[in-house]
Amino acid sequence: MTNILDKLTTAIALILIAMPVSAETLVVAAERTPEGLDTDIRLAGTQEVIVQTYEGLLRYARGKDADGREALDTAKFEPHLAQSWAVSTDGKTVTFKLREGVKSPFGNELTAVDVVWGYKKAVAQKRTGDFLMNVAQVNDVVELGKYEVAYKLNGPNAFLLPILASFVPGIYDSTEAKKHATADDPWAAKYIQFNTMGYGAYTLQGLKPGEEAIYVANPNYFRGKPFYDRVVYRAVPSAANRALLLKSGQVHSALNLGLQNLQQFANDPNFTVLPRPSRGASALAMNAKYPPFDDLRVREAVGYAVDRQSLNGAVFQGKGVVANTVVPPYIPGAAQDLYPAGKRDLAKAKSLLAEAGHKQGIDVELIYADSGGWEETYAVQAAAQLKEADIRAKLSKITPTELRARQTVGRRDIPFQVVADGPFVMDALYTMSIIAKTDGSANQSNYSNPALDKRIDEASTITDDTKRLAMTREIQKDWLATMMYTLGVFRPIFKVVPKRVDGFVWYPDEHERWADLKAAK
Amino acid sequence: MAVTDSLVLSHGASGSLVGRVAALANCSRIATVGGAILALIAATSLILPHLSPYDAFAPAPTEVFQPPSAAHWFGTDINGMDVFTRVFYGARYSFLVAIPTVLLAMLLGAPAGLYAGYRGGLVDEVLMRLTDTLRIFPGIILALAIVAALGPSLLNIILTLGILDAAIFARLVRAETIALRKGGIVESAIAAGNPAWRVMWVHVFPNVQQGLIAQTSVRAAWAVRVSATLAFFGIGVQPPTPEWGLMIRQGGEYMLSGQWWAGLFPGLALLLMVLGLNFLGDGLQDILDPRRRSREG
Repeated sequence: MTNILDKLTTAIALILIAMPVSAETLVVAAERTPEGLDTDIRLAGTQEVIVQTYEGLLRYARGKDADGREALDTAKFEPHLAQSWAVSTDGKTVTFKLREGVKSPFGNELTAVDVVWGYKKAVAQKRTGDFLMNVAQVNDVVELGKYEVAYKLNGPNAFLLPILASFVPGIYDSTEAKKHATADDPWAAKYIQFNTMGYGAYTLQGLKPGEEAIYVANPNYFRGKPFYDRVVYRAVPSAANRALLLKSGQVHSALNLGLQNLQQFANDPNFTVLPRPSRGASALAMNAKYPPFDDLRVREAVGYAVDRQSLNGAVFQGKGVVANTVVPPYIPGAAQDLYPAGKRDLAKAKSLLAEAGHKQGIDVELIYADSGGWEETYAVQAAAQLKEADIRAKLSKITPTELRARQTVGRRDIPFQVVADGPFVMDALYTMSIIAKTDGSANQSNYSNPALDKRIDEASTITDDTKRLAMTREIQKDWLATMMYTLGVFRPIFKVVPKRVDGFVWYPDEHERWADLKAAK
Repeated sequence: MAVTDSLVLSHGASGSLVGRVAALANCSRIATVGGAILALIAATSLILPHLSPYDAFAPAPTEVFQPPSAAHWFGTDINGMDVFTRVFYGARYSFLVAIPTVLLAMLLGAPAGLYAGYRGGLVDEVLMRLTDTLRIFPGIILALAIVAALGPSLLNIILTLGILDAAIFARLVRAETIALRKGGIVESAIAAGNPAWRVMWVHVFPNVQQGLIAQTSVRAAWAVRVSATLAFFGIGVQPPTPEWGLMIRQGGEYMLSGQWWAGLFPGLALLLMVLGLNFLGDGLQDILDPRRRSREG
């Protein structure tokens, strides 16, 4: 039924978009409106908007890329909601001095209480924020003074700063949040699900699910009022329609346009196309809890049956980068030589299946959601390749919402699926921690190896980069050998920016920040 | 002798199949055109996919979105599959949905309508309120909801559409039965000591068949349209099945980016088939409905 609603909302959105808007209004065409606004609960369409309302203690340093465009330096950090920070000599305490005078849209000032409240909320909810705090080995966050807060760690950790430069765990206006807390819901989670109360540049004014969300600039934003004082975030499910709206100038920004729509902008002087390899490798994830994927030989057979170059050509016009590991190739430490099924070998695939007792092949269901517009083609092409090795995959499409629900830690009941998760912390070990650890937020294969978990935790305490990268390589090697994922391609992504809009910057999470944008002079 | 037979023979044809078809053609040109379109689609769907060098289900990674050419008459789709082969293969799915759906709808609806119309009373009330309930919601919305809940498979689509459409046949048969119940045929049959079931099936049912037959083609067109709509919304059969609605959905997304052929040709095929069914249905109604015949005559 979601698909039907999508089609209907497209029509409504097209009509609404045609309506005139003021000069300071930014109009964004997205695939969908957010299904939730809690920083700790990742739902379809959530991340694109929570980055506009919740910001971190730190932010990535800014510089220029090779083309002279503004770009982030993901190896360096600048103060943001915090004005300074200090790491103790043993690396177990990181103290932040908060910026004074930072106010939420409700007029409440940011204090250490808010930072502690956000941490405790994340821990209580046991979702993304809690996972990230575990990755950073944070065991507590304590208030040292009105504007001073300390993160207590089990040991030195390389991930804390990049995590605190992100939006999870969210730093909420706890004064406002507490007004909506109840005995049954002490963290106001039900209210936060559809309302915002951050210290970021924007705040939600209204949400019509499936239709549009209206955001207004936080009048108290500490970096000054953003150029666009209002953002209309409309659901336009069809990539072709989003492209049409962008091309005709009816929207300033269109998310996820899809490769097929790229050509019409490539030679248009009114637009700039900014390409970038995705942070997530497309893959066929096999769940070790479900037969026949509990057998390594079957997983290997799937791996050897897939031709990744062919997938790149057919699905991504050959513009992607074949994935040899889940770590994006532009991150130091991405091992390019360890993936066991580097070359397609159908004979080996059949032989492995026979060894595993499946001489006649296997019948499986390959589940996918067309979240990014490429998954269906990927599934069709992959299934055709698998069939040549007697792996008969019946395709089954589910909605992005259902996929997210079934990928949640604690459920994870999809035996075989198309995935493309990637890190938003640009670190090889971090990538392995989210995909290979038992409680990893992107561990879609449900893989569990306590010994490997321990090694990842140990490696994360090492501050010597060379040593940590060496350990990360071994971790990659061991995980890749399990063949939980049949790797595919780091798909090409791109942003089409109209010449009338300035300021677009790529972030590691691949989501634009409206506060960066302004009308071109 | 059934009424249908008598009508056909009254136009001077022999009893052979060819003769009957010729007689039908004489009776209604529109039915002839509709029948010819359907026959053409059926024949080509059976023959052409076998003559084509391409597999309707096999992606070709290096042939993605090739425009129409001598090698690919209708071009290729996003998976590099030959659209021509898939369009003609896809007709099989349309027939595969339409025929069983109509048969199931008749099988469920006709006896219910016959019984309700003949017996009347509480049974009639209950059955008719049930059919009213089914007809309150637009068929397409109800079909979308049910198939979404049951899961996307050909069997579920046929079952859903068949059950939903049974209400139409039940209503139709009931109305005809009520009209006949008060007539001499039924009274004579009852007076001759026939049991109720025999009166219904031997004396009433043959006389309501014409209405049923006239409706089959129209309802088949409905089934094809709804099935394609389900696939268009992603609820029907799953890729890479060459189903027209699914092909329209996949191809439609790329109409604006220049790959118009992937959605256009299955769209035309669907249009042609629904047109053929509607022509045939309209023609059959002209032939079989004495009231329409007398108006036109």
